[in-house]
Amino acid sequence: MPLLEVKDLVKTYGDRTVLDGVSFDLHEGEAKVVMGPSGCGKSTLLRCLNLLIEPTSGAVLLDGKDITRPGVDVRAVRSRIGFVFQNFALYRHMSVLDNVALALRRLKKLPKREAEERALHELEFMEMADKRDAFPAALSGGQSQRVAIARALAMDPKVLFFDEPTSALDPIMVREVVALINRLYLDNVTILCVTHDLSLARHISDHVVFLDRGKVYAEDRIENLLQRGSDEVIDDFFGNEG
Amino acid sequence: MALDGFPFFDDLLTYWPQIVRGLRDTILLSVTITATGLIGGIVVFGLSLSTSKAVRLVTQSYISLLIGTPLIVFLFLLYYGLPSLGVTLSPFVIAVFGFTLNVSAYNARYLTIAYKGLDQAELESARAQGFSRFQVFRLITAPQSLRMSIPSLTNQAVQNVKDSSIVFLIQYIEFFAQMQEVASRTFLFFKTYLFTAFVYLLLVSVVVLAARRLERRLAIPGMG
Repeated sequence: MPLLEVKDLVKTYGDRTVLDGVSFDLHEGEAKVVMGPSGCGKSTLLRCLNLLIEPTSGAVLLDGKDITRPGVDVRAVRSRIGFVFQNFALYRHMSVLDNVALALRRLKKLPKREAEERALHELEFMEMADKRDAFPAALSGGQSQRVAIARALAMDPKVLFFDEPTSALDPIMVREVVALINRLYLDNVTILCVTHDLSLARHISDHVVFLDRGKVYAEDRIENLLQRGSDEVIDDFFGNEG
Repeated sequence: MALDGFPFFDDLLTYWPQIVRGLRDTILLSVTITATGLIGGIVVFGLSLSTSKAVRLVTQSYISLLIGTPLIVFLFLLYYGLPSLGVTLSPFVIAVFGFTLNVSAYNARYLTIAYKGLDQAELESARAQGFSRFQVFRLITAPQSLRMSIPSLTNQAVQNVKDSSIVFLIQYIEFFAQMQEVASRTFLFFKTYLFTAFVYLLLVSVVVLAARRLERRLAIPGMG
C-alpha cells in the first residue's frame, strides 16, 4: 500500500483550474520529485497535500486514510507531514534550538528538557548543534536549510515535503543540500520534492512526476523523460532547465 | 527638600505634598492606561486578523472610529453621558476606560503595520507544522509584531503621559490639575508651569530610556 496516494486531485480558484485531476502514489522510503514549468501547480499541489489549501475535489490518502474527508483533524494530519519551505521560514525571533523544539513542546506536549534534548539530537544529525543558540539571521542559506529540515524531522513525520529546496541557494549550497537529501533518503525518509532544478531531481529521485498546466503530463524515471526526443513540452522544459 | 537643588523653584516647596500627590496620580493613570491599552491593542489586533469577515469589519470600524475622534469627546461622553443612563463611575475609572478604548485602537494600528512587514512564510510554516491559528498568533505573529512595534508603542506611552493631563477636565485631580491649583494660589504662573513642563519632560525621558532598554533587550537579530 502506498504511504501517500493522490487521487484525481482538483483545485480551482473561480474559473481558474490550478490542479486538474492529479494522481500519483508515493511509497514508504521512496523519494519522488514533482517537476514542471512555473505556474504548473507544483506548490499548490504540496499545499493541498498537507491541507494548507483545501482541494476542490479528489482525495489524498495518507497511510490508507483519506485526509480530505470532512471532519478530519487537519492539525494532526499536518503534524505527520514535515514541510521544508522554499525560503526555510525559520521563526526569526527564536534561536535555532527553540525553532526545532517549539512544536515538540507545544504540539507533542513534551516537557521542555525532553523537547530540547530531542531537538538537539536532530540538530546533531544535521550537524548544526553548535549553532543551537544562534538566531536565523546569523545563518547561511545552507545552514538555515539544515535547521528547517531538523525542525521538520523532529516531529517524526511520515513523509517530508520540500518546496523548491535549492531555489534560494548558491551552487555550493545546492551541492550540500543534494548530499543532505540523499542522506535522508538513505536513512529511509520518504520524500516528496517540488523543484525545477534538474540537477537536484537527477541526484535525489527515482521517479519524476511531470506536471503541466495542472495535469500529470508524464510520470517516469528521469532518464526516460530526458530521452523522449519527440515530446515538445518535456523537451522545452528540460531544454531550458538542463 | 527635594527641590533644594533648584533654588528657582523654592517658592513651590510649601506645596510639595500636593505636587507629589498629583505626580503619584499621573503616574498611576499613565501606567494603568499604557498597560490596559497595550493589552487592548493586542486583543483588537488579534481580532483584526480573524477569519470572520464580520469580526474584521467591526474591528476596523472600531479602530477608525476611535482614531478619528478626539479623546476628550469620549471622556465627556462617558463622564457626562453615563450618569444619564444611571451609571456613575469615578473619574479615575472613566479616565482608564476612555483612554483604554482610544489607546487600544492606536496600538492595534501600530501592530497591524508591523504585521504587514512579517514574513508570511513563517506563519504558513507554523500552520504547516500543525499549530492552530491562535497558537500561530500567540507564538509567532504577536511576539514578532510587538517587537517590531516597540518604537511606535513607546511613542504611544509617551503620548499617554502627556495626554493624561486632560483628565482634569473630568475632575480627576492629577499632576497638572494640582499644579494649576498651586499656580492660582501662588500667582507664580511662570515658575509653576515651567516646573510642570520639567516634570513631564522627566517622566517622558524615563519612559523613553526604559523603552530603549527594552528594545535592545528584545531586538531580533536581522529584524527591524
